[in-house]
Amino acid sequence: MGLTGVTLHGNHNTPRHVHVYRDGKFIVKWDLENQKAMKGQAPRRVVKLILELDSEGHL
Amino acid sequence: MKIRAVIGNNRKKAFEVKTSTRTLVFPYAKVVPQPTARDPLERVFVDQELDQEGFTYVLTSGREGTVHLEQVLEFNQDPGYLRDALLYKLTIEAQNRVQASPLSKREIIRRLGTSATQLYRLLDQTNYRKSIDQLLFLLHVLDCDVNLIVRAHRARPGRAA
Repeated sequence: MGLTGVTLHGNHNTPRHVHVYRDGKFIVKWDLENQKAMKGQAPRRVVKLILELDSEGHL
Repeated sequence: MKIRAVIGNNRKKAFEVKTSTRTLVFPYAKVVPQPTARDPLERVFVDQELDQEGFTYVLTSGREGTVHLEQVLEFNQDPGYLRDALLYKLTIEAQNRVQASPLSKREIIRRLGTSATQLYRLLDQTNYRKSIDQLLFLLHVLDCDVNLIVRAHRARPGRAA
Protein backbone atom coordinates (compact mmCIF):
# COMPACT_ATOMS: atom_id res chain seq x y z
CA MET A 1 0.00 0.00 0.00
CA GLY A 2 3.12 2.29 0.26
CA LEU A 3 2.25 3.63 3.69
CA THR A 4 4.64 5.45 6.03
CA GLY A 5 3.79 6.13 9.65
CA VAL A 6 5.33 8.15 12.45
CA THR A 7 4.12 7.35 15.96
CA LEU A 8 4.35 10.04 18.60
CA HIS A 9 4.13 9.33 22.31
CA GLY A 10 1.35 11.00 24.21
CA ASN A 11 1.90 13.67 26.83
CA HIS A 12 -0.18 16.22 28.69
CA ASN A 13 -0.88 18.03 25.38
CA THR A 14 -1.76 15.22 23.01
CA PRO A 15 -2.70 11.54 23.20
CA ARG A 16 -0.45 8.87 21.69
CA HIS A 17 -1.02 9.06 17.95
CA VAL A 18 0.32 8.12 14.54
CA HIS A 19 0.73 10.21 11.38
CA VAL A 20 0.09 8.15 8.25
CA TYR A 21 1.32 9.05 4.76
CA ARG A 22 0.84 7.32 1.44
CA ASP A 23 3.37 7.95 -1.33
CA GLY A 24 4.53 11.13 0.37
CA LYS A 25 1.05 12.55 0.94
CA PHE A 26 -0.59 12.98 4.32
CA ILE A 27 -3.62 10.73 4.93
CA VAL A 28 -4.53 10.84 8.59
CA LYS A 29 -3.37 11.68 12.10
CA TRP A 30 -4.89 8.91 14.20
CA ASP A 31 -5.49 9.02 17.96
CA LEU A 32 -4.41 5.60 19.29
CA GLU A 33 -5.94 6.22 22.72
CA ASN A 34 -9.43 7.27 21.61
CA GLN A 35 -9.36 5.47 18.23
CA LYS A 36 -10.41 8.58 16.31
CA ALA A 37 -9.03 10.63 13.45
CA MET A 38 -7.43 13.82 14.79
CA LYS A 39 -6.89 15.26 11.33
CA GLY A 40 -7.81 14.00 7.87
CA GLN A 41 -9.87 10.93 7.10
CA ALA A 42 -8.70 7.36 7.24
CA PRO A 43 -9.93 4.77 4.73
CA ARG A 44 -11.33 1.72 6.53
CA ARG A 45 -8.44 -0.54 5.48
CA VAL A 46 -5.92 1.99 6.85
CA VAL A 47 -7.75 2.06 10.19
CA LYS A 48 -7.76 -1.75 10.21
CA LEU A 49 -4.02 -1.78 9.56
CA ILE A 50 -3.37 0.78 12.32
CA LEU A 51 -5.42 -1.24 14.82
CA GLU A 52 -3.60 -4.45 13.87
CA LEU A 53 -0.15 -2.88 14.16
CA ASP A 54 -1.06 -1.25 17.47
CA SER A 55 -2.45 -4.46 18.96
CA GLU A 56 0.76 -6.26 17.92
CA GLY A 57 2.82 -3.55 19.67
CA HIS A 58 4.43 -2.20 16.52
CA LEU A 59 3.27 1.38 17.05
CA MET B 1 2.83 23.63 8.11
CA LYS B 2 5.75 22.23 6.11
CA ILE B 3 9.48 22.12 6.72
CA ARG B 4 11.37 24.20 4.16
CA ALA B 5 14.89 23.30 5.27
CA VAL B 6 16.77 21.65 8.11
CA ILE B 7 20.40 21.78 9.18
CA GLY B 8 22.39 20.28 12.02
CA ASN B 9 24.20 22.86 14.13
CA ASN B 10 26.94 20.96 15.96
CA ARG B 11 28.01 24.02 17.93
CA LYS B 12 24.51 24.46 19.37
CA LYS B 13 24.01 20.68 19.44
CA ALA B 14 20.62 21.18 17.84
CA PHE B 15 18.76 20.88 14.57
CA GLU B 16 17.58 24.14 13.05
CA VAL B 17 14.25 23.64 11.33
CA LYS B 18 13.05 26.30 8.92
CA THR B 19 9.30 26.55 8.23
CA SER B 20 7.45 29.10 6.12
CA THR B 21 7.15 31.44 9.09
CA ARG B 22 10.05 30.85 11.45
CA THR B 23 13.15 28.89 12.33
CA LEU B 24 12.82 26.50 15.26
CA VAL B 25 15.47 24.59 17.16
CA PHE B 26 15.31 20.99 18.30
CA PRO B 27 18.15 19.75 20.53
CA TYR B 28 20.15 16.64 19.68
CA ALA B 29 19.45 15.56 23.25
CA LYS B 30 15.79 14.99 22.31
CA VAL B 31 16.43 12.45 19.56
CA VAL B 32 17.29 8.77 19.45
CA PRO B 33 19.87 7.90 18.21
CA GLN B 34 21.62 11.01 19.41
CA PRO B 35 24.46 12.65 17.42
CA THR B 36 27.59 12.68 19.57
CA ALA B 37 31.28 13.50 19.14
CA ARG B 38 31.98 9.78 18.59
CA ASP B 39 29.03 9.33 16.22
CA PRO B 40 28.39 12.70 14.64
CA LEU B 41 25.70 13.79 12.23
CA GLU B 42 26.51 12.71 8.67
CA ARG B 43 23.50 14.25 6.92
CA VAL B 44 20.02 15.54 7.57
CA PHE B 45 17.22 16.13 5.08
CA VAL B 46 13.56 17.09 4.86
CA ASP B 47 11.70 13.81 4.49
CA GLN B 48 9.55 13.80 1.35
CA GLU B 49 7.91 10.55 2.45
CA LEU B 50 6.41 12.54 5.33
CA ASP B 51 4.99 15.24 3.05
CA GLN B 52 7.71 17.62 4.31
CA GLU B 53 6.26 17.33 7.84
CA GLY B 54 9.36 15.66 9.21
CA PHE B 55 13.08 15.25 8.74
CA THR B 56 15.44 12.30 8.77
CA TYR B 57 19.06 12.33 9.90
CA VAL B 58 21.87 9.84 9.45
CA LEU B 59 24.85 9.44 11.78
CA THR B 60 28.37 8.45 10.70
CA SER B 61 27.74 4.91 12.01
CA GLY B 62 24.81 4.61 9.59
CA ARG B 63 22.20 4.74 12.34
CA GLU B 64 19.31 7.03 11.49
CA GLY B 65 16.31 8.65 13.08
CA THR B 66 13.24 10.63 12.09
CA VAL B 67 11.73 13.65 13.79
CA HIS B 68 8.20 14.87 13.10
CA LEU B 69 7.49 18.60 12.92
CA GLU B 70 4.98 18.21 15.77
CA GLN B 71 7.80 17.19 18.11
CA VAL B 72 9.60 20.40 17.16
CA LEU B 73 6.46 22.53 17.63
CA GLU B 74 5.78 20.85 20.98
CA PHE B 75 9.33 21.50 22.20
CA ASN B 76 9.08 25.15 21.14
CA GLN B 77 5.60 25.46 22.69
CA ASP B 78 4.19 26.80 19.42
CA PRO B 79 0.93 28.67 20.22
CA GLY B 80 -0.92 27.35 17.15
CA TYR B 81 0.04 23.78 17.98
CA LEU B 82 -0.95 24.18 21.64
CA ARG B 83 -4.28 25.75 20.66
CA ASP B 84 -5.14 22.84 18.35
CA ALA B 85 -4.14 20.33 21.03
CA LEU B 86 -6.39 22.04 23.58
CA LEU B 87 -9.24 22.22 21.07
CA TYR B 88 -8.92 18.50 20.37
CA LYS B 89 -8.93 17.60 24.08
CA LEU B 90 -11.99 19.77 24.74
CA THR B 91 -13.80 18.27 21.72
CA ILE B 92 -13.20 14.69 22.87
CA GLU B 93 -14.43 15.67 26.33
CA ALA B 94 -17.53 17.35 24.83
CA GLN B 95 -18.27 14.22 22.76
CA ASN B 96 -18.09 12.06 25.88
CA ARG B 97 -20.25 14.50 27.85
CA VAL B 98 -22.88 14.68 25.09
CA GLN B 99 -22.96 10.87 25.03
CA ALA B 100 -23.44 10.69 28.80
CA SER B 101 -25.81 13.63 29.09
CA PRO B 102 -29.49 13.07 29.89
CA LEU B 103 -30.23 15.98 27.53
CA SER B 104 -31.33 15.14 24.01
CA LYS B 105 -29.36 16.57 21.10
CA ARG B 106 -32.41 18.70 20.25
CA GLU B 107 -32.41 20.16 23.77
CA ILE B 108 -28.66 20.84 23.64
CA ILE B 109 -29.13 22.63 20.32
CA ARG B 110 -32.00 24.66 21.80
CA ARG B 111 -29.93 25.69 24.85
CA LEU B 112 -26.99 26.60 22.62
CA GLY B 113 -29.32 28.69 20.52
CA THR B 114 -27.77 27.26 17.38
CA SER B 115 -28.41 24.78 14.58
CA ALA B 116 -27.82 21.04 14.38
CA THR B 117 -25.12 21.69 11.78
CA GLN B 118 -23.29 23.96 14.20
CA LEU B 119 -23.47 21.37 17.01
CA TYR B 120 -22.02 18.67 14.75
CA ARG B 121 -19.33 21.10 13.66
CA LEU B 122 -18.44 21.64 17.32
CA LEU B 123 -18.38 17.89 17.96
CA ASP B 124 -16.18 17.15 14.95
CA GLN B 125 -12.73 16.48 16.43
CA THR B 126 -11.05 17.00 13.05
CA ASN B 127 -12.41 20.54 12.77
CA TYR B 128 -9.83 23.01 14.10
CA ARG B 129 -11.59 26.10 12.74
CA LYS B 130 -14.08 26.36 15.58
CA SER B 131 -13.32 28.58 18.55
CA ILE B 132 -12.48 27.48 22.08
CA ASP B 133 -15.19 29.74 23.53
CA GLN B 134 -17.86 27.93 21.47
CA LEU B 135 -16.70 24.64 22.97
CA LEU B 136 -16.64 26.12 26.45
CA PHE B 137 -20.23 27.26 25.95
CA LEU B 138 -21.23 23.74 24.86
CA LEU B 139 -19.56 22.27 27.96
CA HIS B 140 -21.38 24.86 30.08
CA VAL B 141 -24.70 23.78 28.52
CA LEU B 142 -23.74 20.21 29.41
CA ASP B 143 -23.41 21.33 33.02
CA CYS B 144 -19.61 21.08 33.15
CA ASP B 145 -17.07 23.35 34.78
CA VAL B 146 -13.81 23.81 32.88
CA ASN B 147 -10.78 24.68 34.98
CA LEU B 148 -7.68 26.00 33.31
CA ILE B 149 -4.43 25.21 35.10
CA VAL B 150 -1.42 27.42 34.41
CA ARG B 151 1.90 25.90 35.45
CA ALA B 152 5.43 27.28 35.39
CA HIS B 153 7.76 25.64 32.87
CA ARG B 154 10.29 23.17 34.08
CA ALA B 155 13.82 24.43 33.45
CA ARG B 156 15.13 23.56 29.98
CA PRO B 157 18.70 23.63 28.71
CA GLY B 158 19.40 26.87 26.90
CA ARG B 159 16.31 28.57 28.26
CA ALA B 160 15.84 30.79 31.29
CA ALA B 161 13.84 28.96 33.97
